[in-house]
Amino acid sequence: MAKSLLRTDKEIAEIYERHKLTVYRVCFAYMNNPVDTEDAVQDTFFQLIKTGMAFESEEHEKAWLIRTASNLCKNTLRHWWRKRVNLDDYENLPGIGNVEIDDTFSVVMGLPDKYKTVVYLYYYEGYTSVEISKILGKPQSTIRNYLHEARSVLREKLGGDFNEK
Amino acid sequence: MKNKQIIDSWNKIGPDSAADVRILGTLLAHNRSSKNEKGAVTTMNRTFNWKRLVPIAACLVFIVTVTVVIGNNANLSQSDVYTEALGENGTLNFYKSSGPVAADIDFGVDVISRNLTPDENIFLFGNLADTTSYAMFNSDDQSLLHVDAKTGDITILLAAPGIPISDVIIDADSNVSIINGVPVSAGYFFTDRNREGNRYIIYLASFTLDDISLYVELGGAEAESETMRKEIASVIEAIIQNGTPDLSKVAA
Repeated sequence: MAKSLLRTDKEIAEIYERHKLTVYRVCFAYMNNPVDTEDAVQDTFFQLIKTGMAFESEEHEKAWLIRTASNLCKNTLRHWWRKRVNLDDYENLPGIGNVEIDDTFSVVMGLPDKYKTVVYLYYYEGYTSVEISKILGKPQSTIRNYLHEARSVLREKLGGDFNEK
Repeated sequence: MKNKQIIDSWNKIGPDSAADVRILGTLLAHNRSSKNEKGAVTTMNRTFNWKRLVPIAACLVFIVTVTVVIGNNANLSQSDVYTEALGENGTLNFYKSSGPVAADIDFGVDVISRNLTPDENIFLFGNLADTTSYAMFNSDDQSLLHVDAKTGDITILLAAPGIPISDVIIDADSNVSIINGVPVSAGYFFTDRNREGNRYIIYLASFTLDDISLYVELGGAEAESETMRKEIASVIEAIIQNGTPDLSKVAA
């Protein structure tokens, strides 16, 4: 698919439509609130426009966006302390109609940042630990440890509601 | 796909239609301006003019000057220091900081973790209200390595001797305040303004009790600055008054 520098508006819009939810959710896992998440999503796609990356496939494109979003969020100073901000603070803000925080999500968002993204990619996106290690550029053993620790917390806090299979 | 509940929860997260339109509109505008910039660069290469470098050179001089002034300024101006009086225990000064940068927090050993009990929290941090904490232990000898605690909105990190305290490094001022005989390095910084024009202030402090490292942090809206400063100062005071905890009494 090798689309690179100087993409047309139509191409940018198509890429955004393809991956907006994934990028939004990865960013939300770090930023914890819709306002900063929106900024981070924009920054992620700005990087795509700026670098003009050429992708081998839509999966490659998605993996690049996940990694870029993750790195951008980690490098944002605001994330460093906002990760500790209570989600409830944002529940009543206007313009966040599509962010509904239930009990399960509160528990997931209470996990350390490094676990949240891995949990999202593993449980929601269906990536294997090997694939996640490639996307995030971390050793497989690290990803497995993250999943192991995250599962322990989820089992403890969600109890019977958390079923591995 | 494994846990349906987690999947269902994530399904509820996404940009609403207004945000969706806003983000896409911004991206397309950025894409167009990006193309125009690339076109402008091409033009500049064709008709290169040294005068175009003057503003850039001026900016560089400004950046270097500011850096040197800040770097050499050991005595910050009074307006850069917030002070919180703690009665007989001393006065805690918060110095303006440049903010954090990422650091490695590799413990170098295999770890196991669990939440600490209320009694263990009181033992480590004193009788702070509603403290919850998550601790990591060395899986071999079961010793306590690191604790990430919350009391209200305040974060407290504790690290055993020789263990890194945080995944960030604060470029803190070398000035310290003495609280109940303990040197405390305290600072603050502001975040960039977000899309809604709001910015936040983050207070932070670090100190050691013998060789145990402690770090305390509180962030929130700039308008709440004074309230937050009092709050974090009183928590720091309480932890110091609690004294040095014997970490061997908290094991996995």
